[in-house]
Amino acid sequence: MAPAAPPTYVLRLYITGTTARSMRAVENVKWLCEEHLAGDYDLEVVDVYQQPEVAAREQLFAAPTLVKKLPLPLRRLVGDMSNHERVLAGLDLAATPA
Amino acid sequence: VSDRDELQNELESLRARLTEAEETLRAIHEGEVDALVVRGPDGSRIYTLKGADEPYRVLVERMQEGAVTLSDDGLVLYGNRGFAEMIGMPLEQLIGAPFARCIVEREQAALATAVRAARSGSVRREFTLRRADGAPFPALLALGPLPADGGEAVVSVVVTDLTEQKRTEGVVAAERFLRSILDQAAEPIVVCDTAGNITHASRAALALGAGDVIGRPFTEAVLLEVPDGSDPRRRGRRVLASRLAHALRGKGVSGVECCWTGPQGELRHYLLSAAPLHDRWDAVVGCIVMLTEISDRKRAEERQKVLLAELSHRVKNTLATVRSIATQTSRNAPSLDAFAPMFNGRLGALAVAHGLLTQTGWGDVELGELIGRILAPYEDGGGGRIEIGGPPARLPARQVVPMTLMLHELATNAAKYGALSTATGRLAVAWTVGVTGLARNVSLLWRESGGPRVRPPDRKGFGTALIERSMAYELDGEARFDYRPEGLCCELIFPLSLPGESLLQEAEASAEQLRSDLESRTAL
Repeated sequence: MAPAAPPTYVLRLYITGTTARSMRAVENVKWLCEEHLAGDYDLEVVDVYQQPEVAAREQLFAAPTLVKKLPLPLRRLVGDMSNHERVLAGLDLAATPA
Repeated sequence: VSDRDELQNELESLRARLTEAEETLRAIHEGEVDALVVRGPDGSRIYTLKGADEPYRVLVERMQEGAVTLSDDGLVLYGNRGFAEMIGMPLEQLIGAPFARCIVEREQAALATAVRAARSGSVRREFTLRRADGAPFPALLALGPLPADGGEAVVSVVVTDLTEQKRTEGVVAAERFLRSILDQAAEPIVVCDTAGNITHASRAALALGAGDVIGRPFTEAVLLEVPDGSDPRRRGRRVLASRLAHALRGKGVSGVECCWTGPQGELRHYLLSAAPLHDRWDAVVGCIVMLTEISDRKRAEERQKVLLAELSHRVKNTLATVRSIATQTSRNAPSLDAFAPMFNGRLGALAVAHGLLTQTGWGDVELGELIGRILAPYEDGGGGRIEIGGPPARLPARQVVPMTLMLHELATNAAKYGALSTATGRLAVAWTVGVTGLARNVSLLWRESGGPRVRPPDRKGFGTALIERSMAYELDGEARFDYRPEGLCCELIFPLSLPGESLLQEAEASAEQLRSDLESRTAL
């Protein structure tokens, strides 16, 4: 893994302000990324209340939603991300044992 | 094969999208989401699900400012607890009621204007709000448009209570006001805190203080003494401290006499008053001490004391004179009936003397005037019966009463037996003043003529005795009687005591003192 190379995983987490679920989602995603992606990722957290137009662009249905933009295929995961197995499966990382 | 592969890929993709859709539905179903995004004609909108806006709600409910939303026609749609507390009314009564009810009447038109303007932009303005109990208070209103469903305009209002801020401004203004009063006050005024330390002092008070007085205990900074007591200054401080403590307990103190000694030894008298200072909750926060200078009054009081003592002395003297007159008259009066007119006449003469002395403020009396007054009742109206003449001679106060009484005796005697008892009789009173060095001697001649023939009396009458005794003991002079057949001739010779006589005596006394001092020193 060349340090200068762009990250393999590009993730966007859409949340709604400071609700408990949104906070939990941020914590869970952050933890999973650190555990399983070893720094090879780019994560941005977006508050849909502050940027409602992004929600439309990203074709979101609900929040919190985690969007895996890269690597393709694009995947959307809805919820507070507390079921780690399901999140890993959604990110096509299920093959890697936790 | 390619068709088959293509179909396989499409199936995979559809399966993945189905999984995603099922996942989303599951998450929504299981309550894992906070909001749904719904696309409408105006773009997407986020619908917050129940519970998701809780933190904001808590934030709004907990903030000290009032938060209100208003409908198009100014009704309160929502109000937070802060606003309810500010207004002092339960939320149930506030919501649905016109917001204008919370504003004083005279500002309601301005509020309506502000609400209208707030639909298209934010507005900040101070208003006077009214509590449920009617008490007004100042508040800042920040109004602005709030996006709402259905297109109907909603206005949000954030209300900040400015009471505290205004109070602070008020305190600053009051402080400035107090300062200007203290600067203008002619009297010493001092404000102390609850510990008795000076926080404010007028210019006059600063002048009384020893050095810098602000921040120091009043009883140390301004050295006042309360008269009497063994150690006046120490006692004074204790007394003042207890008076201040009294004022700090909420009771006023007034009229404590105290005095102040300046660096040059000048003494000033003051009346000290102290009153507690209350804050608006009636708690004592200090006291205000005022000093009223009464030095002039004190001096007047002392002068009055001296005058009273002098008056008492004169009254005693007068009473002694009256008693002596009464005794002498009763001893010489042949009967009680004869006593009354004689006694009254003599008292009358005494009154004449007092009248003259009062006129001159117990100073010298002109001899000619005195004689004129005494003889005035004996003038027969036409004049010319009595002749009075002599150079100016001012009779010192202490000689006035005896001289008056003597002249009275001579006059009554003349009226009874002498020249003034007949229509043809005449009286001439003439005097000369002889000056020998500092001494001036008066020689007064009383000469009657034209009356009944006179022969020397068999025995000395009261009048004669009085005159001789008075001349000898009170005027330091001499009386000579000559009973000529044509009329009595009486000569009174006496020295006028000099106005500066007492000064001279004092000077002589101090010279004598000096001399003896010198002698004792040289002896040592």
